[in-house]
Amino acid sequence: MKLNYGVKKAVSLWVIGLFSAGQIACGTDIVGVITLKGTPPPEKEITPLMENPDCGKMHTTTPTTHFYVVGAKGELADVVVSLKGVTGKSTGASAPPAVLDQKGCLYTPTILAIQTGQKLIVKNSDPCIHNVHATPAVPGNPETNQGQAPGAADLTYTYTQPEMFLRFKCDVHPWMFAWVSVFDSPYFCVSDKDGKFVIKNVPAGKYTVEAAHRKLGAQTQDVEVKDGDVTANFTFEVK
Amino acid sequence: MNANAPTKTTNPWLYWFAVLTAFFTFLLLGLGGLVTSHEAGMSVPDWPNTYGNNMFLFPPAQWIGGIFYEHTHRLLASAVGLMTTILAVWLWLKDSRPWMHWLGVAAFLLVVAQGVLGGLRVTMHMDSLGIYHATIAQLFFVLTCALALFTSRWWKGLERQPPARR
Repeated sequence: MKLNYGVKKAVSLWVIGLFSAGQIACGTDIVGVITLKGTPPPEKEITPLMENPDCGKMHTTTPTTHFYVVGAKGELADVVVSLKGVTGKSTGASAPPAVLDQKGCLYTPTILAIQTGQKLIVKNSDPCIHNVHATPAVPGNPETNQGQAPGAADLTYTYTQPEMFLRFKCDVHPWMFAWVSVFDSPYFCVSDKDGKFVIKNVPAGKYTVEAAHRKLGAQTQDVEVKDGDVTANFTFEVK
Repeated sequence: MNANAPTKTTNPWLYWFAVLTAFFTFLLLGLGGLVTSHEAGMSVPDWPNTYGNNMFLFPPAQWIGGIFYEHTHRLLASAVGLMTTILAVWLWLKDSRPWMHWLGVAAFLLVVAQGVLGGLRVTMHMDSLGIYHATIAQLFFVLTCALALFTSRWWKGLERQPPARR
């Protein structure tokens, strides 16, 4: 019985310790909303997709490009938000893999962000062949080009160097593109369809938050993280 | 005697084969242009295989999108390579002019270099090699036209004409 009491005590202390450590490790969230002012150019219909016998039959209507994903009130999705200049903090090796899928002869999602060392899994959910052609621009991130037949094994990628909007393309279906941003820290996210973003568990300190849109460019905001959540809203404008 | 009349050294079969090689090279050049304009050069990621298959056994059902342009370019290039090899051997064995032997050898070496260059452009992901590939392609086309010209009856007639007196 005494032993059980000892075990219980040890477990309790361990749980308390773990909780305390979690409290210390957890930082503050940087939250915000991205909005777009003005009317973006109309998206283009991807007509070659519908003309392709394999791809066309997977869609009932002609898909369009997704350069500007904007809500009714100007909420802007697919903006990559990160802490500028924060490097050497990657936890990518232990982070769960990110997934990029090829579905209906389109990449899903088209904008994605990962850490250096984090696995990026590319799937082919289509009944047709694709080639996955990654074309990085930063030295140290190798260009690769691999075929992926229907039902073939997933392809896995990792990158060692930070890079914004590393392009993935399919040369078989030349309208297929995805852009993967690679960060050397876990402090980043992509804004959702409501334009919202959350960068979680940021340690206390002064930072420059950067919001980057592939077509609209980048904006920065300086913030100081202390006790509570920090808000940093961004407004992009169509010129 | 008519200077343009066929002689023992004129081989119409050789001439027409050289013309055919030049014509196929012209088609190959056009197909290469289509590969570039459709940005399909990397749609077949491996070489000399095609998606892991022997190039000549790649199922036609999978010749889709950009693969169609790149794969047919490779197949036609193989045909041109074979024709150039036959032409070079034919010239070496049957043409009486030593310089034509070496021109045939040059064509053979150039077509082999072109094939390798095209393959390396894919496997090494080097756009710059594509520039050399396209430039040499046009030089090679000129060479095949020259071979057709030099094997023609008209050219041999010129060779037999005595030099003009001054």
